[in-house]
Amino acid sequence: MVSFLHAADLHLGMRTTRFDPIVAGKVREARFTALDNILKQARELRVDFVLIAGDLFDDPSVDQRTARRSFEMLEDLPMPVFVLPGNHDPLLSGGVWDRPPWNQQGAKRVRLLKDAEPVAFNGELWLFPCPVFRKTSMNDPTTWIAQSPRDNGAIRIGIAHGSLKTREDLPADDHLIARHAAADLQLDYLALGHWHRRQFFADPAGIERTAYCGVHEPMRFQGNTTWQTGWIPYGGAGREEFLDAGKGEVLHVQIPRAGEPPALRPIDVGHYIWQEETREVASGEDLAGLVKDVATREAFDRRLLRLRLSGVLDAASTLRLDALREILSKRYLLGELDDTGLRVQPTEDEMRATAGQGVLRRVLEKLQEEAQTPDPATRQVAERAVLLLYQIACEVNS
Amino acid sequence: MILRGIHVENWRCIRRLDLDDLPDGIIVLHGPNRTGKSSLVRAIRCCLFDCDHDAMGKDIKASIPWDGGGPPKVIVEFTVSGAHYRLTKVFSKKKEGTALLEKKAGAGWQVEQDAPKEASRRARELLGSDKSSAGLNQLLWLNQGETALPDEENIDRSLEEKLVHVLGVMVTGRDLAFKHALDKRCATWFTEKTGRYKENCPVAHWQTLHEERLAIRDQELQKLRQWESAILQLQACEDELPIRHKAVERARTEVEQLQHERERSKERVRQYHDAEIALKSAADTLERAEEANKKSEQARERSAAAGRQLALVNEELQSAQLDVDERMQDHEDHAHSLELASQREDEHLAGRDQIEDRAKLVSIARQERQLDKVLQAVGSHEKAASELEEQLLKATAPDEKALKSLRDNRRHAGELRAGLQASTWTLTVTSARATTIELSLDGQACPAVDCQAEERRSWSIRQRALVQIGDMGQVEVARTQQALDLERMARDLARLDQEYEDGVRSYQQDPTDDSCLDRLAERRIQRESWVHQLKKTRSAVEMIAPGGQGALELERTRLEQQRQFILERRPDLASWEPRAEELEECEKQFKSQAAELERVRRGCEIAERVALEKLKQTGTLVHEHKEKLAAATALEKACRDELERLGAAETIAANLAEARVGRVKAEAALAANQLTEAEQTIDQRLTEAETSLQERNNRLRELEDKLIGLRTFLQGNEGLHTRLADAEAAVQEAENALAREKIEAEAHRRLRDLFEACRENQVQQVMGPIASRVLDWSRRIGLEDYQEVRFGDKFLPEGIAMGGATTATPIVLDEESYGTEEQLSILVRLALGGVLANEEPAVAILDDPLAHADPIKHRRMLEILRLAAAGNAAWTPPAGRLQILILTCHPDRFDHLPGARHIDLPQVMAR
Repeated sequence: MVSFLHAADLHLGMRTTRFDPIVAGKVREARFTALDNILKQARELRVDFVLIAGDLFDDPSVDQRTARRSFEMLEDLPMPVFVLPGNHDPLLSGGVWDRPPWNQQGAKRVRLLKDAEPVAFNGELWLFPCPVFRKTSMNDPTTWIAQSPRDNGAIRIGIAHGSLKTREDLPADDHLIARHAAADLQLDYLALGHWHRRQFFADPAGIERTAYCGVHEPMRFQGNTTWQTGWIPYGGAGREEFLDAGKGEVLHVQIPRAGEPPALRPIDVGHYIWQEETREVASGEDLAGLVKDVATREAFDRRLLRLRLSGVLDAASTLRLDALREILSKRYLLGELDDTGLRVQPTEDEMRATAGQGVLRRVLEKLQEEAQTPDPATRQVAERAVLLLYQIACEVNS
Repeated sequence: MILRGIHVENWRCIRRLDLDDLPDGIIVLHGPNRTGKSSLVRAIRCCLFDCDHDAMGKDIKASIPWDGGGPPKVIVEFTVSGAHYRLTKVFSKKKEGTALLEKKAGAGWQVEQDAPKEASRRARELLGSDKSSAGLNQLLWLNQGETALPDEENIDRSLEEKLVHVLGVMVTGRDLAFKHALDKRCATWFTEKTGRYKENCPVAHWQTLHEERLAIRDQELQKLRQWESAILQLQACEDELPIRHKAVERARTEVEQLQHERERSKERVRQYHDAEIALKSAADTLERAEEANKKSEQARERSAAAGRQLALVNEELQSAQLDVDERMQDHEDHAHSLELASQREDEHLAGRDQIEDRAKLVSIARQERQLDKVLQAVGSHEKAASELEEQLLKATAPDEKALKSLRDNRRHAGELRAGLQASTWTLTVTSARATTIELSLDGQACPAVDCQAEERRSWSIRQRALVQIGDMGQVEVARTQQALDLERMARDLARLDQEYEDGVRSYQQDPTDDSCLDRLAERRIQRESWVHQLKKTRSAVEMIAPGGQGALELERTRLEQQRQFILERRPDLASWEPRAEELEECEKQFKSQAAELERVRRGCEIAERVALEKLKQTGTLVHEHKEKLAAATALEKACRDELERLGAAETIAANLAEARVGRVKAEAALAANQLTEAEQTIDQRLTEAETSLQERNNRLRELEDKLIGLRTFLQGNEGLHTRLADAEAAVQEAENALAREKIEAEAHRRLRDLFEACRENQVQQVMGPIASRVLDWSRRIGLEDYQEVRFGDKFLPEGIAMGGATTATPIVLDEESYGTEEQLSILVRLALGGVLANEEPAVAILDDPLAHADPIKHRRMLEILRLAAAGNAAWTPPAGRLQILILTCHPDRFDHLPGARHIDLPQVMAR
């Protein structure tokens, strides 16, 4: 019986470009927190070892602090940690693996899988690592395993980083791995990295021996295929394989003995909660309810919330938007309010009360006309100007 | 309100003034300066609005007359809303001061209010204004010299309220407060002048940050590209490195193999080289022997040829020598014939001297005959010339200048004489009895003259006469200044007469003869003719005998001497009569014989020259053969010397045979030691292999160096990914902030622009009809180039848009001329006043208006005044009637106002 954690695509030092530097720093830091969660799980579960199937780092040029900190965290585990270079952190000269501490001998726990050759573990298990040397490659990284056929009753575990060839339209240079590589290579389990959503694949016998474990920490807002964090997958932007499921998790794998089906159990290790919501408001009451909802959620400091509003509001209610915006910006780790879908329609009473019957009334009418134009830039300016008019008029009237 | 009557007492310079039954429409109150027109206006203002009865402000104080005739008193009758009122005010703080408002009831007056203060207040209430400068009065009651419209800031609130009531709302207070707050906010973003973003506004701040962060991001991106490029290079290098290692190893193995092979073949190579040297030596020996044999054979051939040549040349020389002797004899024969022909020709030419002498004699005889004719002609001309010279000496005459001088003398003398004669008096004396008259005329004593009784005696005098008539005394007659001139004329005349007389006598003429000058003129002409003939004769002599008659005679003598010389030489010709025909025949015969002799001589000369030429050619040939003979002799000797030096032919042949045998032996030895191709190229192949090894080592080192460099570069860029991420995040933050601030700023700008546009639209909408009316009137008075009168928030014009100018920048009224500004101001006042007078007629007071209008505009303004006074309910908005009081000191300027009432103030007032 062997028990281990299968993690991948940690992307430490992630290149987050769409947030301000402070938030971007926190998002990067959360990935270390999630790593720490993995290590906690490893200790609690007393696993035999931990596998990291590629992309521990977001890039081979990550800074020294990230490289050293991750090494020290992994080295602190009581069990071995096998780390495979992936397409984001390929085994390049001068890259992170070629610098201290990763290029130094004498590590207690961490073992960098630099070579495509079998690694024995406790005499009862063989690891078949398939390290990645380039960001892209036309070769199947697992083919070399065929040179080492099963010769005894040891458990055979493959570790690779690439795209399982589940369909024909995958990019040919994305380290494609044969769909039934696990069966073909007589592996008990093929631990894969590269795809960000947890997925299991059954062999021709129907046994799930191949698995992507997903990311250990979410990297994007859900419900949107655009990378609002600014992160760019080297395997090709826009591909659904790199859209995570909004959860941070690893796989706990248990294999009783060679040839038996592995038991796969996902474990939640994520830290931040990424949320994107669209809410329609039609009245001040709706908005007030929303404000209350947003203000009473738990774990503000772990939440990244993108709130998109739509609907039509009277002018007075729009003043509450500032309150909502303040809650989002002050309490949440990241709170973004997208009110471009919200239209401001002052009531007749508001118009009379704020704009009177003079020139201001004409101005307000004109702005409302402009707010209906299809040109988004004009509309945006006009809607902001309506709110502005209302605010200034209120100030003046008071 | 309409004013119906004004009564003033003790108001400034006005002791008493009564204006009754004032009509609607225009009233012209006229009077000279200091009549009290402005005082009257002041009185109306104080009575109706500005002063209570007990007020003692400066207006009232200044209104109290100096003569102390009593307190100022003003009564104004007016109608309001159909009711007729009378307000009486006596201005005094004493008891006499009072105010009383009455209302007409039937034929009498009914007290409306007798409490003075209340009466004043009630009157103001009826009139709708607290002051004479407030409300509608601010527009329609103009002081003297008030040409401009009131400032917007100073417009009376009650007037504005009335205008709002009639015309509508333009800009509310809320609008203005909003605009103020908006402008304050906009000042955060935009400059006041250009409307562009301020340098320190949030947009500019984020724009700057954005650009800076972009630059940093681009730098990091550039580094990333370099880094990625380095990775690719590194991978390529790493792929290349084992290939190069293998290449070096292969080259090293090849070098070692070649070195071993070279060691093995070293002895074989040495033997081969020795055989090569021996063969080369044998070949050299054979070559020298063959060369000696060849030279010996050639020397013998040359010696035989030289002997044959020497014999041949000797034969040719002997033959040439014989030919020379023959040619020499031939030449001598021809030379002798030439000598004989020349001798005969010379003898014939000796006869030519005689013919030439005869020709000379014939020539001398012909010259002598011609010379005699010339001498005869010269003598004739000389004689004629002598005669002419003699005549010229006898007949003298003045030249042209002298003759002219004489003629001028006579003309001048004639003029003087005529002048003197004209000035001459006649002194006539008739004595009653016989007596002696002594007299002195012109200063010269005249002989005494005895006169008989009653005898009449006369004298001519010019300037002075002193007459002594017996014992009767003397009479003196004299001119004064003129006399002096006459004396000078007389002296000049005498001088001229003397000069003339001397001149004429010098030419042997009588001066008294009047025609003497004509004769002198004829003589002068005659002399000129003679002189001309003399010159002609002299010229003829000069032409015939340039050297003179003497020279001709000398020539005659020379010819004679020549003839004598010839005759001395040839006495046989002494008796010969020189005849040209005979001489010609002799010459002909002589020439014929001479030509024949010359032809013969020339033939001999040619033959002699040909013979001589042939002789020379033959001599040259002999000389050439001699030279050839010498050369052939020398060559034959040299060949013999060379043969002796080369030695015997047998010895040379033996040496040659021996050398050939040695060469065959050496070739056999070389063939026996011949090297294989591999042995021959071993050194070259080894060198090439070593070079190749060196090159590959170099390339390997270069690759290793490059690898080290790339690794160092890559390791030195750790953290690039994080820095780039941070830089991009910073750019993103700036972009978001910039977009947010831009929207905020543009929203402010849009709000401000829209506010301005709407405000402008609102104003023009409200004031449009008024603006049209003012524009129409302004065009009527001749301001044709006005396109638009633009009004502002306070119902007053902001400016005028001119034709051709952009409407965005109208000119303000005070940029117009003084007169035009006043006219426009009155038009606006009348237009607004008319609108406000729609419900109740209003009074306009114009004190000395249109003082700066030109006559045409003045007339047109009167027409506008008439229209405004009449009002028109059909206009939009309708205009009510105006009662217009015009105070002027130029009544004639307002004559053209049909229906207006003219009041001559001095006639209706007491001062």
